[in-house]
Amino acid sequence: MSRLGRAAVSASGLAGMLALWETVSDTGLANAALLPPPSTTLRAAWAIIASGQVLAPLGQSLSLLAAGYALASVLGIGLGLAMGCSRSIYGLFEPLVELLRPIPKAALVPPLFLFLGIGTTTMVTIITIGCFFPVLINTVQGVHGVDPVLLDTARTFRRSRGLTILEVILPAGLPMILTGMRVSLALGLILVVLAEMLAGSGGIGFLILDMQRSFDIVAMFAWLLIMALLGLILSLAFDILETRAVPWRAH
Amino acid sequence: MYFRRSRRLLLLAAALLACHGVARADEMKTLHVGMIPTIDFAPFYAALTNGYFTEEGLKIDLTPTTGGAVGIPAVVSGALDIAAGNVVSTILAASRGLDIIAIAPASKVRASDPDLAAIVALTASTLHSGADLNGKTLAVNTRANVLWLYGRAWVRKTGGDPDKVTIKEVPFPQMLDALKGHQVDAAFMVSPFLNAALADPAFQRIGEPYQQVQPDVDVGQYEATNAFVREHPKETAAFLRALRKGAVWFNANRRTPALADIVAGYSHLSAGLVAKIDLPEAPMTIDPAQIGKTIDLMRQEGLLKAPMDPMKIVYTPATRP
Amino acid sequence: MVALDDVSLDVRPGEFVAILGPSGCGKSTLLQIMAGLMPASAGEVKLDGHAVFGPPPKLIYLFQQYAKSLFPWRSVVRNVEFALQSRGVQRAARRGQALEYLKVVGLDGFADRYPWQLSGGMQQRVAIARALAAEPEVLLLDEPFSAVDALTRLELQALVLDLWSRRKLTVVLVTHDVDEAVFMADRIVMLSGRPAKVTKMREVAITRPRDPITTREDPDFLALRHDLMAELLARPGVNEGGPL
Repeated sequence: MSRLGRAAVSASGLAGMLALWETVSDTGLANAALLPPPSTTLRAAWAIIASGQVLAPLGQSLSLLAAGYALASVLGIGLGLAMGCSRSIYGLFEPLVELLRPIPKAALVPPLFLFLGIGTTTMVTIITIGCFFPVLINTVQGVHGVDPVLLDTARTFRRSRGLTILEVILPAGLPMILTGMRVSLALGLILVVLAEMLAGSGGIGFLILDMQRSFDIVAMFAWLLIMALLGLILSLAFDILETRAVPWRAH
Repeated sequence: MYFRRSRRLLLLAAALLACHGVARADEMKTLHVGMIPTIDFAPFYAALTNGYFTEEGLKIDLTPTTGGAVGIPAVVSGALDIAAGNVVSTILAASRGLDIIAIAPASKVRASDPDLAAIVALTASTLHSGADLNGKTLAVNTRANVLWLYGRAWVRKTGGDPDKVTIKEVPFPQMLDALKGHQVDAAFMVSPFLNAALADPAFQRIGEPYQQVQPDVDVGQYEATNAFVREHPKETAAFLRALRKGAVWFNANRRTPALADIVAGYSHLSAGLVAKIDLPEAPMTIDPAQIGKTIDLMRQEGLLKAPMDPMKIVYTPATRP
Repeated sequence: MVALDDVSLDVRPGEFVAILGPSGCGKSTLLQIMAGLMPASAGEVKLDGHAVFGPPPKLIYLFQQYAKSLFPWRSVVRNVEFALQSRGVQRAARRGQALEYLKVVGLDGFADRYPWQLSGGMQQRVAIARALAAEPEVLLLDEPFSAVDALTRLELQALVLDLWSRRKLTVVLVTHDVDEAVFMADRIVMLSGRPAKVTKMREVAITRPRDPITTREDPDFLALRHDLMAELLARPGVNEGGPL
């Protein structure tokens, strides 16, 4: 099927779902007060975007995400490279990682708020911890998966260990690392919204909860939609950056 | 042989059906109720413990909620039939076009009721007024409800700017720990949890929003949808009868160990502590005039855009059979 | 698993040695041990009198899987620059020098392409250019032409011979192709199957420079080829014997 054809199929699927939603809400199959139709939701969301109301909460949520995500990526890649390249470092950290990794990071939010207070620092900590593990694990896997031929090539040219890590292992492992970073991005957004709901001081997550508490259901759905759009845009942006960063992946 | 046995079986089946048919007439109806574990709803728990609902043929299926803001969506969606709530959440929901109505009062705070609700802070802190709360955190059970509204109004009245106060949601039973752990600087607590705090010298009362902003305010209510009331008039009437009986019993037994035990049971505080609380009378009717004042306050605080007729959220059985 | 049993080999400076044997007989292993990429469980390797424990200086090993040895995140010229970086060449001079090496292998027009955009033969030439950029004295080639088509193979053989003679390199070439061994080498070392033993060493007394067409018709070429083919296929040869 041509590219246009495939796009048409996807679009029709989306259109069909929207039509179903509209029907369900308009005919009263679902309580329209609790599930406003897409037409109302889209209009409300557009109003929020067009008026610029979206900017402050969006900026707040995004900066939280950016801080936690950046920190997690640096730490995850750093430790991941160390663990991947050194057997002793791997042995040192592996039990700890295996213990902490399976804990759903969303479950850590309430206890962390309890121990560290409800400030920005805690929120960034939560997001960092959550985003850290996928990046770490994928980096280790990426390092372990580097083709031995590439490593031996660096050896025959007598490149130092440190430079080999930086110039060969890191780029070779980049596809795997980026996969981990993609997972982290999605997880990070979820954690931001969750943390904001509990912290009560602004951001998209806070607004979604606040609108629910005020029974402004249309506004709540509108903000949900905006959040979904944010997730979509971030995902697309990541795709584009990934293609630029690892163009050889497709070959 | 075969014939006789099968005939016996048929007779047995018929007999069972008959019994079942007879039982149908006074079969127990199940009501799904959402409840908040505060003093406001002690009459309900009294009715439950004393069997008044059972007498009316009602089986109560209880779900804990953290507040009206949580109970009301559950009622509107049909997950619950009746929920414990508050006047502000009801008005707000109704103003947004949600089908909600207050079928009975739960509590009101008179000027002479000191121990029902208050703003609490650590004694060690230097907080004494709304002005001191600027830039600090205040805990309420949920946002956009009666405590949130009157908390903000109190901050404004005592020299502070409510927009400068960060409001955090904390369930009632956890407010004490949140204060101790410095998660929040102050908390708008209600009975019986308030009394547990005041019994501890580490905590101090720094304000009484209801009494200072609007004495005699109607606070707690029991909510349902108009649709439910319309479609289940018998069950609604039965519920209200049992509830009223519970309120009457509550008012007559405020200083008895029996009531202290009931409250201790659902709030998980000690009966000794509850026995010391000076409990006020539970109201028997909703006061539309007070609701009108709350509506005005909500408009002042920007929670409500347009005026509203208080009767819109008050259930009157005479006009709504 | 024992790969090599009893292999003793002396390579003279400037010599072109071909190690010939059937697939899987351990010739790659031998070459990697010589390159210092793999440790020997017994025995030793010496280069210029110094023992080899890791990849020695002035020696470059070229992989059989040359496509995999090129860095896909670097362009062709940047791949060659890798060797220059390892030699400590200044950043400003690298591109220019790298282009020179690419010119030697005829790929200077493809400098900014990426390895995955090139054919197999071109990729091999990039690997060769990169190896040259390290200015080695010794080149170890592991079946370098087994994965390209016959015509490209002839071109690459001519290229390697040309580089060997111009730059006075010492080359050890591992191959399973008798034709190739006889055409390119000064001396051929035959290895038996696993565990590998040296079964025969033959000097290749054919004159240089060697021509892709006429040398292959030379009677000495054909005779030697016949002998070696027979040995490989385990049949009695025409000129059996000769110095071992």
